[in-house]
Amino acid sequence: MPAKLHFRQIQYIDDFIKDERRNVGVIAYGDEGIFLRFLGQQLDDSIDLSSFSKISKLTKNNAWVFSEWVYWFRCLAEEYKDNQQELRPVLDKLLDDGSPFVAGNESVIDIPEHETALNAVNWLSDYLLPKALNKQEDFDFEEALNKFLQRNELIPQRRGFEKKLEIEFTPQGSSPIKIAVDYAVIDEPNSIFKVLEIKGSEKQMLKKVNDIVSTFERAVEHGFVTRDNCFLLTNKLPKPELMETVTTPLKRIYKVIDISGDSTTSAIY
Amino acid sequence: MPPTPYTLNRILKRSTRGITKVSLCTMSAYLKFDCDESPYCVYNEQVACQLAQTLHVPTAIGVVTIMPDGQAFASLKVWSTGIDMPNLTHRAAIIEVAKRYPEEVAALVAFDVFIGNNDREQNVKACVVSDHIHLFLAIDHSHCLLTIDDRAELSLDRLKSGELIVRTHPFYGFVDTKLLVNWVNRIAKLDEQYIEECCLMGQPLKAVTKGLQKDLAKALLIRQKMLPQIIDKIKKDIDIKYACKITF
Repeated sequence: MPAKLHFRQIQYIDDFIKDERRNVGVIAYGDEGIFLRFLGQQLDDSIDLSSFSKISKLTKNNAWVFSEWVYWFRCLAEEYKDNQQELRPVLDKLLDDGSPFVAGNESVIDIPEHETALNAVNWLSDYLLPKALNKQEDFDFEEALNKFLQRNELIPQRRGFEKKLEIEFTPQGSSPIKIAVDYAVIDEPNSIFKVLEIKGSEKQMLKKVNDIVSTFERAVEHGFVTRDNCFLLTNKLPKPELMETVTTPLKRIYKVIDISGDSTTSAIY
Repeated sequence: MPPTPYTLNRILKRSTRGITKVSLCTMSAYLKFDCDESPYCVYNEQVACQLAQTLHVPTAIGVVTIMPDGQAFASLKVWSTGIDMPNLTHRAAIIEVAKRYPEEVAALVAFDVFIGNNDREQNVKACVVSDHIHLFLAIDHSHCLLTIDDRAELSLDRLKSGELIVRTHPFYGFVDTKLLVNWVNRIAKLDEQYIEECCLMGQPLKAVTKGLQKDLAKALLIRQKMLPQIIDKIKKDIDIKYACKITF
C-alpha cells in the first residue's frame, strides 16, 4: 500500500473582500515528517522575496513580512513535527483569525513505492507554486535604489543629506581637487555614496569602477571621510569568472552594497 | 529604542501656511470598543497607552476617537501598509525575539506586571528575521487595569493586594532580569503625579466614572510601591538563562 502525503497550500490573501488568494507555499505532512516549500525558496532555504513582491502593490512595499511568515511556518512545523494531529487546528485557525496567510483545504497524494516523501514534496511545490520570475529580466535599478535609500533613511529630510554633491579640496601649494558623489551625509562622521549599475561591457565597467575608486581615495586622502564611510551602491557583484578585471579594483572599496532584492541588504545606519 | 514608524494611508493636500508647510494625510488604525468581554476597553487602552508612553515602554500608540455611539480607541497600524505580521506563538520565535530585543522584553514584562495584564500571549508583534527592520510592539490592553477580574472593584482590589496577577507571560523564562530590575525601578520611581494624570480623564469616559478613575489611580500608586517586591519573588524563575516557559 503506497504511503500517503497530506498537504495544504499556503495562500496569501491580498484583498479580504475579494478573497483572491495566491499560492505562496505548500505544507505537507506524513510518516516522514512535515515539509515546507515557499515561493522564492532557494537551495540553501533562504527566500528570494522578489517573486512575492511582484504579486501586488501591497506585497511590493512589504515583501519583508513574507520572511516573517515563512519563519512562523517553519517554527510551526518544528513544534508539531511529533504531533501532526494538532497541526490541523492551528492551520485552520489562520483563516478564522483573519490572517493574510492561510492554509487551503487538505488534500492527499500517494507516494509511489520507489519515491520518497521529499521527492513528492518537490513535485508538489513545482506543480502548485508559480515559477519564480527571472530576477535579471525584471530588475529595475532605479526602483531598487529608491527603495534602498528609503529603507536607510537617505532622504532629503535627513540632517546633512545631500544629493549630487561636488566637493572641492584645496591642498596647500596645489591646485584645487574636485570630486563628485551621488549622495552624501554631511555629519559626524561624513559619509559618501557612489552608485554603479552593473551593465555594459567589461571595459565600460572597469572605467566606471576606477573613477569611483579614485573618488573615494581622494576623499579619504584629504580627510573628508574614512574608508569605512565610503559606500558603493550597486545591483550585483560581478562574478569573478566573468569580470575578473572589475573585481580587483572593487575589492579596494570596503563597503560595497548590493541593493537588489529586499532581503539582501542590511540597514547601514 | 528606535522609534516605530506608523503607516500613512494617503498624503493629501499640503498647506501653504506656516514655516513647516504641513501635509494633510490619513492613517490606518484598529478601532476598539467597549464590549461584554471588556466593558472598560476604551478606558483601559487609553490609560495603558499613556502609561506606556510616559515610561517609554514599546506599545502601539493610539488615540480616543468619537463614534456615533460614543468613544472608541483607535490603535494606529504599525509599519506595514496592509500585511499583518504573525503572532509570536512559537517558542523558537520567542527565544529569538528575547535575544534580539532584550530591553524591550524587560520593559514589557515590568509594565505588564504593573498593570496586571494577563493577556500578553499573542499580543506582541516583533520582527524576527528581517535584519533591517527593528520592530517590537505590544498591542491590546483590553484585559488589564479595570478588567483584570469580572468586576472593576475586584480588579482594583487585586492590583492593591500585591498579587502577581500575571501568572503566565510569553517572556517568562526568557527575560534578562538585570534589565528587568532597571525597568521595575523606573516604574517604582515614577512621579505619582504622572500616574494620576494617566488615569484621570477629567470627565467620565463611557462607563468609567471620574470616581472609578481616581480609584484606579490610587490602586496603581499602591501597586507601584509594591512592584519591586512582586518582581523580586519571581525574578529567579523567569530569568533568560532558563530559556523555558514558566507559569506561576
